[in-house]
Amino acid sequence: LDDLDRRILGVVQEHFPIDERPYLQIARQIGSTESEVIDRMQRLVDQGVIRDISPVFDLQKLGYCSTLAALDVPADRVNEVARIVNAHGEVTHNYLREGRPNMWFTVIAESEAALRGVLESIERDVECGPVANFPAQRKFTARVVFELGDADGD
Amino acid sequence: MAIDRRDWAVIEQLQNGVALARRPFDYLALAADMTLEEFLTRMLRLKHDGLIRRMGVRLRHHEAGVRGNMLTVWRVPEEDVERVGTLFAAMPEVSHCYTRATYEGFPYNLYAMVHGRTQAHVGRTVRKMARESGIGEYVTLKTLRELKKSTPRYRPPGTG
Repeated sequence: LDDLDRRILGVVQEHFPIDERPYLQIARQIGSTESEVIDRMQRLVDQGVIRDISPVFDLQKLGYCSTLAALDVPADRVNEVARIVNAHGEVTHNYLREGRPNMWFTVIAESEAALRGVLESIERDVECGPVANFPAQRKFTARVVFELGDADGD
Repeated sequence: MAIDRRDWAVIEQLQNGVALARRPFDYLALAADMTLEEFLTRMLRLKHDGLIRRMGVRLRHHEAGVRGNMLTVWRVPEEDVERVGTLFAAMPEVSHCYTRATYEGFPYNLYAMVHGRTQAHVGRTVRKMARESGIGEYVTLKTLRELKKSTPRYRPPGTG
């Protein structure tokens, strides 16, 4: 990433302009041109740095519910249990982590009842002990954390 | 803050992504069957009301040079939660910081996701968090494998 890439990302990560000519607005903010901004961003997409340009929604305000849940899965059952857990469209992320419990997944559903239903169904189908449910209570922060201007190199 | 069917048309189109074209919202407005003006006005209101939490590009951490990350969980006495949560949330390396319900055998109540250029950078940040908060009881939940990562698709209520 060069300096121009970083300046573009510095703007578009948090404040993609809601405007009929968004790339022209970005260009004006960083002293570039509309076509250069589009070309650079296309390159960042091609390089895989930019995944997509899309809003992050507040799922609760859209009427959805979410939670973080975990299972303690024996090492020899991880693949099998992951297949069952991941088969639920409501499970958006699933990670195998160090420690116990070791399988941590996030669930998003249209209601608390639907959320409970997914957890109960997983608990029943995987037969791996109880699903630990860790609903969020208080959110101190949820944001992006890229300090792309900081090239400390460590 | 109530959202109607036409707001949902905007939300559904935005989830398809904004194109790299001079007038990218023209396409989305057309697909949502409304004028560009109405589309942008509704988008601005969704942003203002917080339904759109952030409008921007989503990066792939690794390709963007953020190669280290760690979920950390902390056991913080109830009367210290406010102080420690605020402290962690103010750190630029911390993306998410939530309190969560505890569970039998898992007494940690404050969760913080830490990122850094390298895993070593992340380790230094975690030690700094412990030092500055004075909370010694914490665990790092290192990722061994990513088993699933998908983007949720939000739809209007009752449309499954």
